[in-house]
Amino acid sequence: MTSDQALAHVIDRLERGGVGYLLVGALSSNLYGVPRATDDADVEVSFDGFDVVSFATGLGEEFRLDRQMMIEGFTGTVRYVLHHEPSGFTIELFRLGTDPHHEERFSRRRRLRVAECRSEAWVSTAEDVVIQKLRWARRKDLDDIVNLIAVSGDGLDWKYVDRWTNVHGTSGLLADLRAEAGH
Amino acid sequence: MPPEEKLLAGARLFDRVRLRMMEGIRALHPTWNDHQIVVECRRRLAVVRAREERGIYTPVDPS
Repeated sequence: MTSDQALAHVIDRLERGGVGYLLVGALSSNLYGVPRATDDADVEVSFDGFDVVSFATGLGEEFRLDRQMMIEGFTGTVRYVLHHEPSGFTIELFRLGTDPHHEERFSRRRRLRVAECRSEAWVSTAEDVVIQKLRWARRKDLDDIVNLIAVSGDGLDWKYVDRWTNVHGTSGLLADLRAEAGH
Repeated sequence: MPPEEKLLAGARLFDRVRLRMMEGIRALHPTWNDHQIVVECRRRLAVVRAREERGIYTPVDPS
C-alpha cells in the first residue's frame, strides 16, 4: 500500500464505521492552495463511541498505533499517531475537544469526493484552514496560508476569518500574510 | 488537478520525495543494504518532525 492508498483506506474505514471526522492540516490546505508533499495526514475525530485501539487494529497489519498520546499545547487537543509502516506515512488522529474554534470548524465541515475512496470525505473549509494554521504559525503553515490566499483568497469568507483571528490574537499576522499574498 | 485528486496529492508527493531521499542515501552510502537505507530515511524524517513539533506537543500520561 502506498501513502495515498493508506490514507484512502483510513478514510474508508472511518466512513464505513460511521465515525464523525474531519480532514484538516496539509491535506486541506493542499485542496485550496498549492499541493505540497506531506508525510502525515491530520484527522480530527469525534471520540463519541470511537475506540482508537480497535480502529487501528481493524486497519490491518501495515498499520501501527503509537500508544504514546500527545497533547497539543494551543488547544489542549489529544493526539494519537497511526504509522503506516511500509511507506513511513503517518495519520494523526486528533480528539475533537472543547476548543470553540474546533467545534465551529467541525460544524462547518464540507463533503468532497476523494480519488481512490469508495465514498466522499469530510474536509475542513478554506477559512478554517487559514484560522488554524495561523495559530500554529510554523514556517510551513505560513507558506501554506500565503499560497492558499493567493489561489483562493477571493472566495474566502473574510468576516468569519477575522472574527476568529481577533479571538486568537492572530489578526496582525494574517494582515502580513495577506499582503505577502498580494491580497 | 481536480479537487478529488488534490486531497491525496500530498501523500503521493511524499512517496516520491521519500524515493528520491532513499536514492540520495544510497548514492552517499553505496555499501549500505536496503534496511540501513530505510532506517536512515526514517531517522531524517523523525528529526525534521521533532523540530517542527517542538513546543507544540507534550506527552500525556495515560493514567
